[in-house]
Amino acid sequence: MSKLTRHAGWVLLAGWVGLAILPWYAVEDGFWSLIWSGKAILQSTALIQALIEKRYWLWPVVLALLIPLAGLWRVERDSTASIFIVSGAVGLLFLFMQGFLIGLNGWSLPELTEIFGPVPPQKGMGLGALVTATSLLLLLATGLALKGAMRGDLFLISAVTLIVSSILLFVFFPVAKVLIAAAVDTKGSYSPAALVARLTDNDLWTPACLWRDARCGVVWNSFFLAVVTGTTTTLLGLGLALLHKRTGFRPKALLRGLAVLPIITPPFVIGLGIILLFGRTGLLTVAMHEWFAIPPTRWIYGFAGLSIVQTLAFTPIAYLVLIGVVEGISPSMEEAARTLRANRWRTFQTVTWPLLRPGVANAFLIGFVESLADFGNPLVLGGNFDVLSTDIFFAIVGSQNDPGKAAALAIILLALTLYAFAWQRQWLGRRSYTTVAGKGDAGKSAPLPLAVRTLVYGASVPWLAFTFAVYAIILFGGFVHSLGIDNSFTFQHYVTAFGIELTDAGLLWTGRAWPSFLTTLELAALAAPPTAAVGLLTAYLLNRQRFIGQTVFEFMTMLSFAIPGTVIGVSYILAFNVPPIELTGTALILVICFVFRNLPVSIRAGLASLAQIDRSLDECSLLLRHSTFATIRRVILPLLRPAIVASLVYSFVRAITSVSAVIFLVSAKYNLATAYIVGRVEVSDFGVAIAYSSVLIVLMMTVISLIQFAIGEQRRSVSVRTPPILSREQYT
Amino acid sequence: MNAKPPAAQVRLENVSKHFGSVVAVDQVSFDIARGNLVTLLGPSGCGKTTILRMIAGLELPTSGRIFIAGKDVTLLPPNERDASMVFQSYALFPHMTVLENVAYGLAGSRLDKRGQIAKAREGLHLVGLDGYDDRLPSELSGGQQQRVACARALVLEPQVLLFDEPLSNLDAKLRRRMREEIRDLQLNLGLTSVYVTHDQEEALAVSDRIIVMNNGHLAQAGTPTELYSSPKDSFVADFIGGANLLPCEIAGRTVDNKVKVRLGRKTFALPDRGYRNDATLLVLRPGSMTLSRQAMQEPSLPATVRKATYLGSHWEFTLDTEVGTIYATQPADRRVEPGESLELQLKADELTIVAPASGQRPEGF
Repeated sequence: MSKLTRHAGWVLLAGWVGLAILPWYAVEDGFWSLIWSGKAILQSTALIQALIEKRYWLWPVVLALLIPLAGLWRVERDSTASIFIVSGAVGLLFLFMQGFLIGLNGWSLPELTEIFGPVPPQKGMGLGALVTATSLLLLLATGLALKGAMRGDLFLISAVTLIVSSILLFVFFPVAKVLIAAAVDTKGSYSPAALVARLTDNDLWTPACLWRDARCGVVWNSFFLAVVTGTTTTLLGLGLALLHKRTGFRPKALLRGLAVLPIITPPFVIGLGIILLFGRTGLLTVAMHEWFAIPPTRWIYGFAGLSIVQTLAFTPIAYLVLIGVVEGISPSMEEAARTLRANRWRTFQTVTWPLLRPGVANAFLIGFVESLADFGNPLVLGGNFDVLSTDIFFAIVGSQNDPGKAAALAIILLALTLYAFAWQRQWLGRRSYTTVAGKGDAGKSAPLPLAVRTLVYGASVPWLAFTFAVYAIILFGGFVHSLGIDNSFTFQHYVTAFGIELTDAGLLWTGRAWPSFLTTLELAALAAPPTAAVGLLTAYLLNRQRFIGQTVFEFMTMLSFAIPGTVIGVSYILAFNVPPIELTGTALILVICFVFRNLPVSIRAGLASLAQIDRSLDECSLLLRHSTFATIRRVILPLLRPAIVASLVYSFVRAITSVSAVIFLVSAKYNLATAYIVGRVEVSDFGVAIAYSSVLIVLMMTVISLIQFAIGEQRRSVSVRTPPILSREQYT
Repeated sequence: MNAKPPAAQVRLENVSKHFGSVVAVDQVSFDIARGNLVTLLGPSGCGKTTILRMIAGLELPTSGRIFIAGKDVTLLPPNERDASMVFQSYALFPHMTVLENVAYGLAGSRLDKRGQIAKAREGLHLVGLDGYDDRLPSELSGGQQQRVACARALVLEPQVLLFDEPLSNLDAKLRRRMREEIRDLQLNLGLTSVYVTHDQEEALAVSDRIIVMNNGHLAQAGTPTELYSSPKDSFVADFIGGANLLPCEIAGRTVDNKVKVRLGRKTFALPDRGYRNDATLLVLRPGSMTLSRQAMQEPSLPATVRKATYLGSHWEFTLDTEVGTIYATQPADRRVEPGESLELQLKADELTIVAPASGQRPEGF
C-alpha cells in the first residue's frame, strides 16, 4: 500500500466517523448535549437515518464512502485514482443536492413533490455532515494526487481543494444567493422581471437633485459621495506624504501615528466625534451660538457631514498608499532633471508629478471604494441622505423587511466596487513606473517648489490638527456628563459601561458593555488563528506554486478582496438563515464572517513577506530531501513569523473594529462591541458610546504597540527583512 | 520504464521546455559520465539554467526524459531525486546556524541525530570551515557562505551535484580561488557534477567537458581544447575565447589534405574540416597574429591601425584591413601608433574555418 492509499484509508475512516458516529443534522442545544444519551447519538447519524428512518436520499453519500474502500486494495494506480475522484465528486454533489432540495418543509421545489411524493422535513447539516463533506473533499484531492496533479503533491492539492471549497462556500455561494434573492418577486417565485424591475427602480437612479430641489437616487448619492471622498482623501493624503518625505516638517512621529488610526478606529467613531463637535448640541455649535449667535442647525447630518467624516477617516489610508509612491521616486531622477537645467518647478512638473500620477489615481480609487463600502459613518451621520450601504441594512432590519430590495442594492454596490477594483488593477498593472528605475540609489530628492510647499503645509497641518481634535474629543468626551450641555467631569459613563462591583458573591460585572465586550474579544481571538493560517497558506500557493487553474484561484481570492462588508453581511443572512447550512444566531457565523472578511489582509501580509524570501530557499530545501510540507514547516514558517504575528494582530483588531458585515449577524446572545455602540448612538446615548469607543481604541493601540515592539525586537535578532506591521500592502 | 539503464550518470533524452510560447530548451540530449564535471556554458537566456533546474526537478520538462544513475526521474519531485544543488544565491537558511544548514538535508537519512551532526562537521571540515558551527549565515563572508552551500550539498553524497553559477556573487580574485577549490573537491571526491556558468574562462578552467548552449539548442559539446581549437560554428568560436570572424571563400583543396582559403586577395592553406564553398568564416583569435612593419611570411594582410589601447600587460589594437575590422592583442613591448600602416602576420596553425551559426549573424569583434 503506497503512502497515498494509506492516506486515503485515514480519510475514509474520518468519513465513516462522520457518517456513522457523529450526528448528521445540526443539534439544537449544541453537540455536547447529545453526549449524555448514546441512543440519541446513534439515531441521529446519517447511517441510521438512511437505513432505518428511510431517508433514502442519503444513500448516495453512504455509497460514495463505501465504493472507494475497494480502491484501497486495487493495485492499479490509475483506476484507484479514478474511483477516488468520482466517489469524492459525486458524493459531494449528492450531499449538497439533497441538502438544498429537501428543507424544513420537505421538498423545496413543489414540482419534486409531485414526482417523488412527500418527504419528511430535514434540519440543517451538522457536525457529521461537515466531517463527511471534508472527507469527501480530501478523497477527491487524494485521487487527483494519484493522477499526478500538482506533481502528486498531496499536501498542496489538499490545501488548494480545501481553500477553494471554503471560498466557494463562504464567499461565492452567499453572493450567488444575493443574486437569486434579488430575482424573487413578491409572490415568492423567481422571475427575471422582478430582478430587472428592482435594479432599474427610479428611486435608485433619479438624478433629479442636479437640476431641481429634489432628492437624488441612492446610487447617485453614494457615487457623488465616493467621488468627493476619493478626491479629498487623495489630495490630503498626497499633501501628508509630501509633508513627510519632501519637507523639513519635524514631528514625523505624529504622521506615523496617523497611519495607525484607520486600523484601530471603529469606522463610525469619527462620525461620532464630528457629531460631538458640530451636532445640534455640539461643542462648536454651542460656542458659535453663544459667541456669534449663529443658530444651531442639522447641517452636519447629510452629504456635507459625511464627506468631512469620510475624508477624516480615509485620508490616513491615502497617505499610506501615497507615501510608498513618493518613496518610490528615485531622487536620482530628479537630480538628473536638475542637472539638465530644469528649475524646481519644472522638475516637479515634468518629473515628480508624472511619476506620482499613477499612484495618485490608485489612491483615488481606494478612497472611492472605501467610501462606497463605509457603513458606520452613514449610519450615525446620514440623516435623510441615503447611501447604498445603509439602505441595504434598513431594507433587511427595518420595517421594510424586503430582502429582495436589499439584494438588488447589494448587487449595485458590488458592481460599483468591483468595477473600481478592476480599473485599479488594470491601471496599476500598466502604469506603475516606480519599479522601472530598478535599484534604489542614494541621492537627495529635490525640494518642492515654494507654491507646492505652501499648499502642502497649508492643507495638511490644519487637517492634522483637526484629526487630532476629533480623537481628543472622543477620548475625553467620555469623562463629562453630556458634552456641549453639561461639561462637568464624571466617571458615570465608564461605570455604566464597565462597572465592576465587589459583592459578597464575588466580583459582579455590572457594566452593560461587558457581555458584548467579552464576546467580541473571545470571537475575535477565535477567528484570528484560522484567518492567519488560511491567508498565509493562500499567499504561499499564490506566490510559490504553479498549478493548473491558478489564475482562476487567484481571481477567486482577489475577487473576495473587493466585496464590501455590507454585501457580505446581507449575503450571509440570505445564505445561512435556512438549511442546509443554518448558522444565523450562532457565534460560529460571526467567526466565519471575521475569517473571510479579514482573509485578504492576511493574504496580503503573506504575499508581502513571501516576496522578501528568496525562492531558492524553498527550492534548496526540496533538493535537500524535504517534502513541501516539511519545507513550509522548517523554512517558510520560521521566516514568516513576523507576517504570522502581523496577520494575527490585524485580523484580531479588524474583527473588533468591523461593523458593516457583522451588524447583520449579531444576536441577543452574541452581541458585538461595535453593534452595541451603534445601538447606543441610535438612541443618542453618546456618553456610553464614546466611553466604549475610547476603551476599544486604547485597547487596540496597546495591542498594536506591544506587538510592534515585539517584532522590532525580533527583527534585530534575525537578519531577515520583514515588512513593518503597519504595512501599506494592506491597501495596495 | 522499460528503457535500458543508460551507462551515463546523467542522461537527457530529447528534453524540451516551453514557457508559454517561448521555447527555453529545444530537443537537448547529452550524457554525463560518472565522476566528470560538465559545464553548461552560454549567454544569459540560452536555457542552461533551465536544464540544470530540470535535472534538479525544479522544473518539469515539456517533453523528453531525464535519467540519473540509470533511473528515469523525469516525473519525480526534487526531494525524491538523488541530486543536490549549490544555488547562485547560496540559499542558506538565514534562521539556522551553519551546522544546522549543513545538517538540514540529513534529517531524513538513516543517521541518528549524533551521526548527522558528525557528518555535517565532516562536510564543514572538507570546505575548511571547522569551528564555524554556531555562526549564522549573515555572520559569514561571501566566500564562506559559498563554502557552507557547497558543504551542505556535499554531505548528502548525491549521485549528481549541481552548481548554478556558484561564483557569480564573488569578486574576481575570490572567484578564481573558489573555482579551484570546487574543482579540487570534485576531483578528490569523484563527484559527478553539472556546472552552469556564462563565464567561458571559468568553464575552461574547471571542466572535463563543456556543453555550449545557444538559444535553447545544444551548440557544441566537447573537451575545452576541442571547443577552442575546432569550434563547430561561429557562435562557439566567438563564445569560447573570442574571435574575429572574417568571411572567406574556399578556393579548393591541396594534395596534402588541406583546404585553400581565400581571404581578400590572399589565399592560404588550412586543415580541412569538410566545409564546402558556401559562406564560410575564418576564425582569427586576437592573439593569433603579430604586427610587423613588413611582410615576413604568408599568410599576411596589410592593415592600418585605427585605435591602440594600452592595458598594462598587453596592447589592444583595432585594425582596418581590406577584409574588415580586426581586433588584436599584442605583447606590451610592441609599440604602434594609430594611423600606421602595417603587415598582419597570421599564425596559420592557429587558424580554423567555421560555418556561421544558424539563425545568427556572425559578429566577432
